[in-house]
Amino acid sequence: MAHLRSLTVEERLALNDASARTVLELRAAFRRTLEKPPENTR
Amino acid sequence: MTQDLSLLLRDLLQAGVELILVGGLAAVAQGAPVTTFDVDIVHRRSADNVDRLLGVVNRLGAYVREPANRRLPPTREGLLGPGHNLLVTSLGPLDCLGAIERGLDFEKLLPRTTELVFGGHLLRVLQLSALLELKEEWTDEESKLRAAILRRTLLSHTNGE
Repeated sequence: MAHLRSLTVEERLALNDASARTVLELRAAFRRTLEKPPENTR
Repeated sequence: MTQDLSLLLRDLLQAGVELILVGGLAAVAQGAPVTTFDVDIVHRRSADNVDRLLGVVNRLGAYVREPANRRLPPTREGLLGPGHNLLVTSLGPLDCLGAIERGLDFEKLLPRTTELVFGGHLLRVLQLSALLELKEEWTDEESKLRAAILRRTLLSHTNGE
């Protein structure tokens, strides 16, 4: 939290943008994994 | 869509839209360690200001978020009213709130705001103490977690951490 306090408002919002984009990308990757048909294990 | 909430907010301020930043991004701006996915604003509902707001959101291809996903454009009447205009823009989701809990609109919230400098503009944000009070009214688990984070952030400000 001390680290966040040292940032400017611009830096805090940029960090949120980067974080949100990463989370959205991970969610999309997770969804794709769920949608992928199970591999044939035979 | 490339999510860029900083640019979205900057566009609004650049156009001279009078707004109060509320919600998660207001908490982020004040140092709360949370991640948020949309911009929540309470805008001044004067005709001039709504026209400025409408100009920006139209330029960003905004449409109303709704289950049927009919991609309806935001309306002037809607933005002039006290309701919630939940929009999708090319830079990310934008919630234009005419008023929030207990009918708190732009004028009523003003005394509880702090002015920050953002991108060379003055940005009015709802103070952490007010954000916390609003969050404490909600009883769902996520709101309780957010309230705990806001409380801790507020305490760290008080202690000068």
